[in-house]
Amino acid sequence: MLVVNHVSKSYGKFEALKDINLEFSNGVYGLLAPNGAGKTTLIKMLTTLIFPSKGEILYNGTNITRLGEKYRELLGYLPQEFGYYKNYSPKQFLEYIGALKGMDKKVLEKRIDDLLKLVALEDVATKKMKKFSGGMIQRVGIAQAMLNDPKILILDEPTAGLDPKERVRFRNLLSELARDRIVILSTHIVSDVESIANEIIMIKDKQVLYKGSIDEICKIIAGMVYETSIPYEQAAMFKKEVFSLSEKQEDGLLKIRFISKKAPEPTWTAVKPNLEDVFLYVYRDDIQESSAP
Amino acid sequence: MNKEKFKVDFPSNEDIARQINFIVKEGLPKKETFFKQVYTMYQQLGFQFLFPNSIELAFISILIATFLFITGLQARDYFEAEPGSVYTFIFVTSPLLYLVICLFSLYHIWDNRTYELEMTCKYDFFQLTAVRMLTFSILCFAVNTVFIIALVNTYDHISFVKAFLISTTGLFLFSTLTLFVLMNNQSKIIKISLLVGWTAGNSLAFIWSENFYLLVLNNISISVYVVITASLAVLYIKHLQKMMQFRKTEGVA
Repeated sequence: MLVVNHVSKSYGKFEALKDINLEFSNGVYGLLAPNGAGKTTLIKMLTTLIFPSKGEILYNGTNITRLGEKYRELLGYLPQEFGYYKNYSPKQFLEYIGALKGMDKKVLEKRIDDLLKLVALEDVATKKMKKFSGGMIQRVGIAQAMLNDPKILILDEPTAGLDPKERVRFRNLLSELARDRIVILSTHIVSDVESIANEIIMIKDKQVLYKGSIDEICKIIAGMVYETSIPYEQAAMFKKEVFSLSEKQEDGLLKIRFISKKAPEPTWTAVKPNLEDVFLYVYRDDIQESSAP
Repeated sequence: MNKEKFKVDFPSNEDIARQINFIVKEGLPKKETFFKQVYTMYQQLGFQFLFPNSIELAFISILIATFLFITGLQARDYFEAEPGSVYTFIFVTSPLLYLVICLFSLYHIWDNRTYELEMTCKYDFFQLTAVRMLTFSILCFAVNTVFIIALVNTYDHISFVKAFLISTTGLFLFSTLTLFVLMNNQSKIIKISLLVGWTAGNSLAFIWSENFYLLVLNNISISVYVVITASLAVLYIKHLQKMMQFRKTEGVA
């Protein structure tokens, strides 16, 4: 079990994360927050790239800093910016990372063949990566993270560059892997975690805002989400009174999904909230700020 | 009231000793020596993966060595007019190859953005860099030694022992300073100043006060050079050793 115990991280006077408490056991955890909320800082602490300013992170009761290379042997990590040697082929690169992870050569050869098949790169296993597309590079990144059959798999924005088909394959793969390991998936794309995460962790204002199953988190706005269709002319006025989640054109009207705390009107249809609704509602200030001109 | 008597098996002395050994072994893992660690890494990674850019490194090494040899062997008029200046040349250029290949190797990691990934592996960036720097210094030492042999064979007034010690002092002084600056979270300006300022600084000192510079360089006795070189070599190895363990205690930003 991986335990984050009263962890804070500061850079000089700037506090990036404040008093974070989390527990991870086997399963998929979706770390969901807008860009700049502190996800990557937390990920970097979990991967020992940076150390907490306060608090401690324990794996099976021992501080991960003390565990050192023993902890890193258990770790699989895909950074947000996955770096690779352009002149290497996927096979060479995986051999390189496997060697750095201290893996046995014979075990490594077999593992590389299996993983290249798994990420559908076996046909280009010996081609240089400099000509690969973003999706192919990301698949090499996913393969290297799983190379040592890690007990803790940490993926920072792993679906960037993957096409829809690859995303589905990837999600299925993670669900399968999470049966006997901790998978932490950091993303700002709700659909990446909605179908596979056992638990969602939402970070806001440098602290953990919610941690729970998707159903639990969706209860935050239960009974407040509606849909209705209105003429376009009324849209501006209507959106001043409610919080709009999504809009689309339908039969010449504007079909709007929204959150309202007021008593519902007869034309409103109550709908079941989903994770994206919660995300948009919880981070409405951050989203409005980032979309402001 | 009859008290129930419990019988607890007491472990034998052998069992106790075995358990103690197990606890000590697990709790206090035996520390490997620096050279043993380097050897293990060579065995595990092999030359190919310790130097993923070996072709470029070989090319740069040949280029720098050629530059050194051409410059050193073509400057006859100057070296003969100023007999001590050849030692200045040897001192200033001694870490040149080391400087260039270290910079290139670090640039290669920065350019490919592999740093974060390498930091989360069993053998991390600092351990790899320590082994690479050790290898670069051995390579540089070998090239410098061949260069000095060539100079001694070309010019009559050069003492091999003195030239060798000056060259080795220059190399270890620069490489120790480099490690010290790299590991002490100095500002980027200081790091860059050291890495590119060595040649410029020494040349300026030489131009500013040629007599004093030559006096210092030429008047140090061989025995003092031996002591300085040996001390710097020990300090250099100690810093490399510290770099190997760096991550375990410091973390990175």
